[in-house]
Amino acid sequence: MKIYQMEEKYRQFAGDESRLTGRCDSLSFPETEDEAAEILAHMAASKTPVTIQGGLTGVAGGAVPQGGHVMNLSHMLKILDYRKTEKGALLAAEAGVTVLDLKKEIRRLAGKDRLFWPAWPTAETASIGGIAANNSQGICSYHYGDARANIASVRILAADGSRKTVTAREDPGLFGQIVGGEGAGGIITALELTLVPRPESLWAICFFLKTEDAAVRFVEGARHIAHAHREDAAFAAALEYLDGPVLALIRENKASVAKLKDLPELPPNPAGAVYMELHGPEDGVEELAGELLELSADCGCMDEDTWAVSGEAETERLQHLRGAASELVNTRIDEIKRAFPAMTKLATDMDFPDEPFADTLARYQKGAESIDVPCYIYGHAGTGGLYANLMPDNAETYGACTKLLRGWARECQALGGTTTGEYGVGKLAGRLLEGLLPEKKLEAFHALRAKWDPVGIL
Amino acid sequence: MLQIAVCMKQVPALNEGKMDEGMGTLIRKDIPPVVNVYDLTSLEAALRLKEEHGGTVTVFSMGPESAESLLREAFAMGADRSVLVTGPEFAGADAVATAYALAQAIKVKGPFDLILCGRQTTDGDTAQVGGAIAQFLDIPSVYWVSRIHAATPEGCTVTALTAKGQASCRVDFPCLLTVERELAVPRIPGLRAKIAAKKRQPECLTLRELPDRDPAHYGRQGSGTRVIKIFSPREPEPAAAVSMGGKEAAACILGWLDEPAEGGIR
Repeated sequence: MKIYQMEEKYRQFAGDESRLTGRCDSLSFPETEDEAAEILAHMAASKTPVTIQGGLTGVAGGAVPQGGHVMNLSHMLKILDYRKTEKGALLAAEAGVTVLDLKKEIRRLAGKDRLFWPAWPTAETASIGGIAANNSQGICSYHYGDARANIASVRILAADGSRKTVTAREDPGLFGQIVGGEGAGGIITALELTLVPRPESLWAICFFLKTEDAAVRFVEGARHIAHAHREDAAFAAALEYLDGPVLALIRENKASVAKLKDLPELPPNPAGAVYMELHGPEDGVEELAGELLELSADCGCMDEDTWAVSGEAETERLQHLRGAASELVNTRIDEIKRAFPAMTKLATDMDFPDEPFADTLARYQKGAESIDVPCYIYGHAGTGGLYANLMPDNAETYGACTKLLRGWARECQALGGTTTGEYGVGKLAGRLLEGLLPEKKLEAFHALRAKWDPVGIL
Repeated sequence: MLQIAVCMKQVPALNEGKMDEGMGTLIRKDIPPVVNVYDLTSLEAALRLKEEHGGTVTVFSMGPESAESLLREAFAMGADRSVLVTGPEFAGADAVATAYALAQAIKVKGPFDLILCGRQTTDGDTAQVGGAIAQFLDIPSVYWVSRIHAATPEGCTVTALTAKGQASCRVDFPCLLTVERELAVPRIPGLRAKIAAKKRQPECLTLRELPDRDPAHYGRQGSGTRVIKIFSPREPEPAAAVSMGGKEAAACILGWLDEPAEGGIR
């Protein structure tokens, strides 16, 4: 059992992408479930709180310690099992396996079967344990569903030392609490992922719209087209939005972000961009692309305002545009933090059910304008799950942003929506949206803690 | 108006392929193919010259029928014509046999003012095909071109990377250039162009359509070299860093140099 005392060289483990800075007294990097159990028992005996970490890509501060012990699972990297199924395969792996590792292992194991895991996010350093804990949604969640829909079972090391495997099929209630439970009550040490065949044809298309009105009309039209084809062999797998300020940020920083260097210059001053992926048989994908082409023309897009690629490698190249949004927004937060150390990520992760895209976008834009704070908006345009990232640069505007977030959360609740989604509650939303958090989520946390963590160390 | 030929190749997307030791070739089955990234740059360079000076861009590739998808991507980017040199006789070709086949095809479809090739492919990495094509066509060539400054109907001025820096030169047409990736970021085709390209067919050239129809000059038969082994370099074992100064360090280094080296290579 190796436990390390906190010192300067471990500083990176005191925070995550939320930009909250925490503190801890000790750390461990278990390599097996047995080792993790031993450490957990040791901490439970001394009632030392334990913060579990994976890839540190979370933005809600779930992995940020507030004293006590940090257990970082990044050394739990074994692939445990691989079995073909009728529909694809099941791959069991330890929680520390990252998306990048997963992609390599799937290529190695699946070979000519060409499989993939639809829930992987654009952040390749994210761990599958963290993805499950937050019930993350990859960009293809629009069609394939969230992490929960693509995991068959999880292995839990509960705070009380018990270990169990919980499957989606046999215990959907408990499974549903654990996946998305943000580690409440127990540690996800391993998962069984449901792999599905890669589509025969894969197109990735980016539409750059000249005005915001055109961008909104395009999204609404694309949603309509995607919905009409959702049960067909060829379908829209992803429908993502990037607003004008995000695109300007990408343009300004393109030369300094390695993954963007392979992309050509963006068309001049687009007001918004929509990234879509089409999956399915070649003919069907081409037909669907044709419908979207017509829509884009109706919205004022010329051919030079669109980028269209096909195949896995080229699609990954275009996905970097979408991935860059998160990365550059976080970099912007770091820049602000140099002069304003209290700065953290302040972003929405709300679901306004059945609300037109135009209304959600306008809500965030008008709100940010009302307090005169820059805002970068991007996210899942298909489902309306947009991330509005507010950028205050002093304590006064930070306070105004917090009030704005709470106001939006109240509106969301009034409309029957959920105020936190894949980002999770963590420390950040837990603090910012206190009293406005989703009841169902809080009930899950309490249920799991009551079941497995009476001492309350996790 | 410039008549430009671009040579392009489909390569495996990943460097994880296994080798057919009997044939001395990479097993490409089950690895998704992509366009060689260096060739995308050469096509982009060609398209920019065409946009500035007028003319046509013809893309050549040697490969199986599945390489037609590469040529449709070239159409989507803006190529005017594409030619696929294909047939069982061409399989297993090394760099020189590949260059010979492409040079033959270029003779059939030419003449061209300028021929552009990527510096190398990401599977073979020999960086020999461009130079060999120039030899077979008996035209001047410049390698590792990082910039094309100016083109006139008679020739162009280029900057090329050298072992010690850069060099600029003027070269008359017809000539061949191999290009570095830094020369240009390849455009991404628009959706309309991509859909339209799906309907276009590349021209196919088989052995019997080439001036030299002797199969002994092509493919595995025509290859003077054969790959024996493909392997990843052995990862060095971790070494401890030591700190010493002056004479002690010099003596230590001399001692290392005097040790027998592996395979006679130091």
